[in-house]
Amino acid sequence: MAQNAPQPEEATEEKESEHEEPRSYVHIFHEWCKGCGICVAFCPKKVLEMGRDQKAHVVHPELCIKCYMCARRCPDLAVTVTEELEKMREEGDST
Amino acid sequence: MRVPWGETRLVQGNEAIALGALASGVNFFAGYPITPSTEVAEMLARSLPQGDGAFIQMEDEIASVSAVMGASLAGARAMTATSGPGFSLMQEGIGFGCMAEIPFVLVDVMRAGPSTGLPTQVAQGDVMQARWGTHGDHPAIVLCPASVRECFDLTVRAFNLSETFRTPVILLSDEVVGHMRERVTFPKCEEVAVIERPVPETPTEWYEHYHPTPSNVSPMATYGSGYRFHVTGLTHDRQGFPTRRRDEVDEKLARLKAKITRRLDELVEIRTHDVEKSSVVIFAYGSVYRSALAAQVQLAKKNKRVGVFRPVTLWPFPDMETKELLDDKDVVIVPELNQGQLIHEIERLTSDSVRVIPVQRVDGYELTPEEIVSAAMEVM
Amino acid sequence: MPAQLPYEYKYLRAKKKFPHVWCPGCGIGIVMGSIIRAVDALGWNKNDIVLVSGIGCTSRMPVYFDFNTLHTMHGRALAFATGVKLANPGLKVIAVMGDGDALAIGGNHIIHSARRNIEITSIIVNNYNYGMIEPGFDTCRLLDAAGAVFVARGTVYHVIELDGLIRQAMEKKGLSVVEVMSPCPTNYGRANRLGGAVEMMKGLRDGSVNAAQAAKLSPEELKGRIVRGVLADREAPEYTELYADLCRRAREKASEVDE
Repeated sequence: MAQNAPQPEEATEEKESEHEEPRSYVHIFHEWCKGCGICVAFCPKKVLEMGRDQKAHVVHPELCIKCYMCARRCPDLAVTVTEELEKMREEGDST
Repeated sequence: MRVPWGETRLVQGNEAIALGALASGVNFFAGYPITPSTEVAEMLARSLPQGDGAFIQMEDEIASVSAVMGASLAGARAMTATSGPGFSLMQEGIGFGCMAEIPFVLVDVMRAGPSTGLPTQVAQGDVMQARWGTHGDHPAIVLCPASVRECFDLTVRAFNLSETFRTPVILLSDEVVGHMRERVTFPKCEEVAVIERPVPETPTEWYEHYHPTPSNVSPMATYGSGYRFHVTGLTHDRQGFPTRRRDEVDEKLARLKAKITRRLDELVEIRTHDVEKSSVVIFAYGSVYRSALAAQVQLAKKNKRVGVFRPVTLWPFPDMETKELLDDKDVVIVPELNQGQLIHEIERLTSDSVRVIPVQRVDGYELTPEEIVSAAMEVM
Repeated sequence: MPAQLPYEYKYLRAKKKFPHVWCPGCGIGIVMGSIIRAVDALGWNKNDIVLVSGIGCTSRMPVYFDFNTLHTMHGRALAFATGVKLANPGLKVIAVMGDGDALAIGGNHIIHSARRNIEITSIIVNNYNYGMIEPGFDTCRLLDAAGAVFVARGTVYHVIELDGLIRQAMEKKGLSVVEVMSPCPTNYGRANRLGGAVEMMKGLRDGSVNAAQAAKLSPEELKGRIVRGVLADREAPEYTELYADLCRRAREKASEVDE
């Protein structure tokens, strides 16, 4: 894995190429991700990969089966699976 | 067991502590039995369940002081009672209470040490420990009763001070005061003031558990009240969150100190008898004060005039009063049931011209008036 | 970003600095998520929850939660928690502790809390750091023997199971214990050359069996394996209820004497 931080232009490129399409259920909050690799290693469908920025990225959103394991196993609460959110919005905010 | 408001009774010192606690509205006691303090626990074990309060014997003194603090944070008026060896175990807890600013009362009925010492016998060996037993810079409020009635009054005062200053308050008694019996006329209920901790009025989202105020004491919310705050022993900011920022650390530690040092007039209490006109003064506290008063009477019969100066508040030590009243004396006699603890404060505060004479006893027996008289006669 | 926040975030303190303090790959954060999901599933009110801890990595957890939180002295979480619960039995008290905090310096307090069966959910995150050099003991058997009415073990790998165990523990009336095996890639993992977080998670996956499977294995086969699941679940009188009953009887007796 690359040890150096990516140059600004490269980072934008990467972001654009793997920018989550509206259909991707998995979202990664990169500010909180510490790059431990757990979500990537244990995704049953290999939806995620470690980027050169040492953070997890969604590379195959179409393969996601919404098992939620990435979100549950993330030690940093940095991974969300949106269908969950849509359901919550439907049921109304219960705060 | 109820407080005999307005009545006259023959009461034991420790019993009076329990009654004072009840008078003050105590509703939580966690402790571990240890001679010579056990009577406090025994009496509250019987009374608290009757009044819907909680009593629990914890597995050790460390658990006791911890449970007391947990209860206080949940809104209880909480206390524990112990003696030397238990007091030593509680030191870390006392430090936590000072840092986290949790009100509670801790009774230490002193017995002869060090270590297991003489469990059923008297000493005054925990005086310095009461000030500096726990690590780090921390404030201390320590009250010292010398009579059964004062066991009652000072327990009430200890609770009030702990809630007013949001800090642990130590009631430092000794085995003689704890076990003696005296005739006491109790005050009437309306004569006893019960002060509660200041409650916050800010909206919950803006609440700061350690908000600086002119009194240096922040209003204190309670768990379950709707204010959700964090308590930690780590040095923390106004919210209670851990910090290492130098300005925040300084602010916290300075405020902890100022809580006490800026309000000495509310804290320091002394008793004086004929000090102004005497050139020889006996400085005594706790059970030794009773011997000092008797010595004063005996000396008067020999036509020797001595004054008696007694700190009721051992800490903060009455620096100003000691300097003002004792610095022009020829002799200050300091009888203590230890190898010299408060004597160092007097030496610190008086000029070299004042002769400070120790009268010390550590064999587990009370200092008699005769011993004090004999020390006085040698210099008069 | 606000649109993407999962419901877990409403249980976190907005004023606290995130990302949290734990190392990349540390299992403690996974336990944190599990606790949030359990509280959410049970519909508990944040104002009623008191989260208590001692000292150590696991004990850094409470500050991140928007509950009543209490970060105490090493080993003393349950002693403080006992005071909180007894002073206000209506509060829901959860204690989070590491293996050192709960079982080394705190060993005495957890034994007595179990003995009293006081209603506190005790979550022990065990990353072996405290037991690194010496042989350990079976936490669950010990606390079961001491009197805990619900004893379970999970791992941060088996997170769905863990969610269920923690929820059951919270619902249980009495002293409930969940021991959670967790990786520490920084200390234990590195010192014992167990690889990074992912390797250690695989170790939890491959090195553990559930209670049903364990029942079919011989002692030799079980050696060195972690047994997961509910290991004890029974009913026994809870301490604050016993105490309330004592108070009632004391008051009755006192009023008899008056009459």
